[in-house]
Amino acid sequence: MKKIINLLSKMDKTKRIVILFITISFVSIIGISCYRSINKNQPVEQDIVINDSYKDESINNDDSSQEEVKKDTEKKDPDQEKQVIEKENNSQTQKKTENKKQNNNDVKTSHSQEVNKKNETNKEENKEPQEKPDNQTKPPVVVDSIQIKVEGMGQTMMSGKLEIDENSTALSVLKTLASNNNVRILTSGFGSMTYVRGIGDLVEKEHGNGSGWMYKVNGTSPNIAAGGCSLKNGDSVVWYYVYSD
Amino acid sequence: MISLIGILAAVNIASRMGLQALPNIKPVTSIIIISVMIFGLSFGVKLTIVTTIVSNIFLGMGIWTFFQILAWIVICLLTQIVVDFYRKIKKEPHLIVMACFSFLMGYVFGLIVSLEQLMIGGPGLFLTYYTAGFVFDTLHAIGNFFFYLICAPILTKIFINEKQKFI
Repeated sequence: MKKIINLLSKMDKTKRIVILFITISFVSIIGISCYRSINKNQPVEQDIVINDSYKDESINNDDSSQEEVKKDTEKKDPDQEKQVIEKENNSQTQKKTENKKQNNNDVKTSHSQEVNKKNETNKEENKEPQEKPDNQTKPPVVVDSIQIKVEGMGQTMMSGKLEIDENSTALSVLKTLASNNNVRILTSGFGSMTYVRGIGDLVEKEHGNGSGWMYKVNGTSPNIAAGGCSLKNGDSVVWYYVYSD
Repeated sequence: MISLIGILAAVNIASRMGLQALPNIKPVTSIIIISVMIFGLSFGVKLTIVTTIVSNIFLGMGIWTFFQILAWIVICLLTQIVVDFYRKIKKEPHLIVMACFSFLMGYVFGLIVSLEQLMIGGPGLFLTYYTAGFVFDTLHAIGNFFFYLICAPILTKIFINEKQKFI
């Protein structure tokens, strides 16, 4: 450290200024690039969290006996808003859920909202709207959804139907599906240039030199990275593993 | 002194705009190296700033301007280190040696200018940009080499009187 300071003081003025300028600029460039690379990873995790809650409600939408399941999952005001629209179902389901209240609470993992739910089912309907400011406000009744399937070597590893929003890409729905099924994904790169190296146990280049993961949307392969391929309602995404032996 | 900067900057800008069609073959880097050898580091820094800003007004301004200035300042610093080294040994740098040095400076320039992509897209984009630009960097280096061989004797003879005033 002292050697560097001695060196700096012995040089003449311009050299000192130039060296300082260069070091500061390089440090700032590297700092900004690290900062941006770290921050780009975070929004993806938030997407997964949001998609989980949407997934719960999407599963609810699919089944016919949903209002019971709706009560099983988080009891938010958006659900209550839907029920206000369909009042007949409300009265029926609430009676059923009051009966099944304890089953629901056993099944569900511990959330702070469980406490709220117990309190809610104990109280009357009128008091439930008071929770509106606390919980999320919900998007409309009709939500976009897509089918996704992941096929390994000859067998389907995972498949399902997921909710999407405006920012969903082929990559984000894959990550959501994998996190729902507890399957690990290996990627390299970040942002819209992410490359999927492996899903679960199948990693690239393990079954031949050209083996790896590719994806198709609606039966055709878009020639863009998965992180940049946005999805529309009703698309079907297939991730498949190519191998040569 | 200011007039010297003006003349050399005008030569740089005119040559940069005149040789727009040929990719990256420009005598700017060679002239900057020669002027740092003759006149010193501060002269080179001022010359780069004037050249870059004015020529980018004509050729297109963007975030790359800062990186070009940074790259040329790094080149000035490296040439000043080489000049100091030769002054300690009390010899004159040979023409071909300096020409090879300017050949290497072409690659240094390419490396620093593609550091901009590190801020935008991360290491993936940086590697893509750098490897895609390797052909251009090679052309830059070859151009540097020949322009150095052409310009060095001419400029040293012209400015030998001015050099007395500086040192």
